[in-house]
Amino acid sequence: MPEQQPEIAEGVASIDRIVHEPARLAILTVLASCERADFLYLERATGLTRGNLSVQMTRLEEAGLIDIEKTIEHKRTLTTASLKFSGRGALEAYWKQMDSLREMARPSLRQVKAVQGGRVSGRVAPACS
Amino acid sequence: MESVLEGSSYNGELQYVTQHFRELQGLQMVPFWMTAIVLSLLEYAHAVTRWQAVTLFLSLVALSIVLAAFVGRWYRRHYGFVAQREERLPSQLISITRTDQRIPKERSKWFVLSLFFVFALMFFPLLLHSYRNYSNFGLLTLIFFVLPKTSLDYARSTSLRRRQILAIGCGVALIIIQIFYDLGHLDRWAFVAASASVLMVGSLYDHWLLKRLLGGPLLEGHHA
Repeated sequence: MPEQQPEIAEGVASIDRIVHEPARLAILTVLASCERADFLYLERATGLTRGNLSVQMTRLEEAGLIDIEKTIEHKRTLTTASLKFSGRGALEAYWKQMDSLREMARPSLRQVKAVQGGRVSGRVAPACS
Repeated sequence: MESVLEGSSYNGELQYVTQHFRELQGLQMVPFWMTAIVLSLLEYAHAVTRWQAVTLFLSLVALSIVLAAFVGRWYRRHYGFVAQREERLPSQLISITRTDQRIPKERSKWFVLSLFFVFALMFFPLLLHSYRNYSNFGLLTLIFFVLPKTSLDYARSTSLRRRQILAIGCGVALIIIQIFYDLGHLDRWAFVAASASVLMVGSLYDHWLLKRLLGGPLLEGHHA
C-alpha cells in the first residue's frame, strides 16, 4: 500500500474531471450506447432536472465531447445530442484509467474491508502487490 | 475512494436500456398477443364460423397495428427518442413499430418479415385447416421474441438478470407447450392461446422494466 499510494494518488489526480462527474458520465454513457438521443430521453434516463441536464450538456459540448442539434418537429423544438469521435475516445480512456486504478487499489481495498469486518486485529499487515 | 473505483451497475443499466429502448416498449406487442388469445378462445369455444373468424382476425390485426402505433407515440411522448445503431439489428426484431421519422430500410424489411411469418404464415393455415404442421409457430416465436432477450452482458443488475431468466423461462414454457401440442394433449387453439399468453408475460415485464429504469431520479440529489 505505501509504495502504491503515490501512484494511485497520481492516477486519481489525472482523471478527466469533465467525464468523471456522475451526471456527465451518465449522459456520455447513454450517448455512447446509441447514435443519437433526445433531451427527454436523457432527462428520463439520467434522472436529472431539465436545468441541470442543460448545464451539463452545454459543458460537454463546450469540451468538444458531444454534438447538440436543435430541429423543429411538429412546431416543437427537438433537441438531440450525439457523441463525437473525441467524446467516445475520452470515455474509453476514462474507463481504461478507472480499470487500472481499480487494479492498483484492489489489495488495499481488500485490506480495508478485512479491517472493517474485524478479521484483522492489532497491527495492520503491509499490503502486498 | 471505493465508490469511485467500483464499477457501477447503474452504468450497465443505462447502456442496456438505451441499446434496447425499442424492444423494451413491451406494450406495443400486447395488442397482437391479445388478438391471438381472443381469436383462439373464440375458435376454441366454437363461437364463430370460419369466415367470421377470418374477418375477425383481419380486423383485430388492423386494430392491433393502429394500437401499436398509438402506444409507440405514447412511449415517445413519455420517454423520448433514441436513434439506435444499425449493427444491433437482429435483436431489434421485437420492436416492430416505429414512430420516428428515421426508419431504416433494413429494419422495415424485418418488420414486414416478422409480421408475415408470425401472423400470416401461422394463422391462415390454422384458420383454413389446409395445413397440418403447426410446429413452426412455437419455433418462430421463440426465435423472434424470446431468444434475443436471453443474451445479456450486464449481469450485475438484478432487474436485467430477471429479464434474462424470465426469457429463458418463457422459452422453456413455449417448448413444453409445443411438446404437449405435438403429443396431442393440447387443442391447437389452446396451444396458440397458451403461447401468446407466455409471450404477453414477457412483453409486460419489458414495459415494467423500461418504466423502472427510466422512471426514477437516480442521480439528482446526489450530484448537482
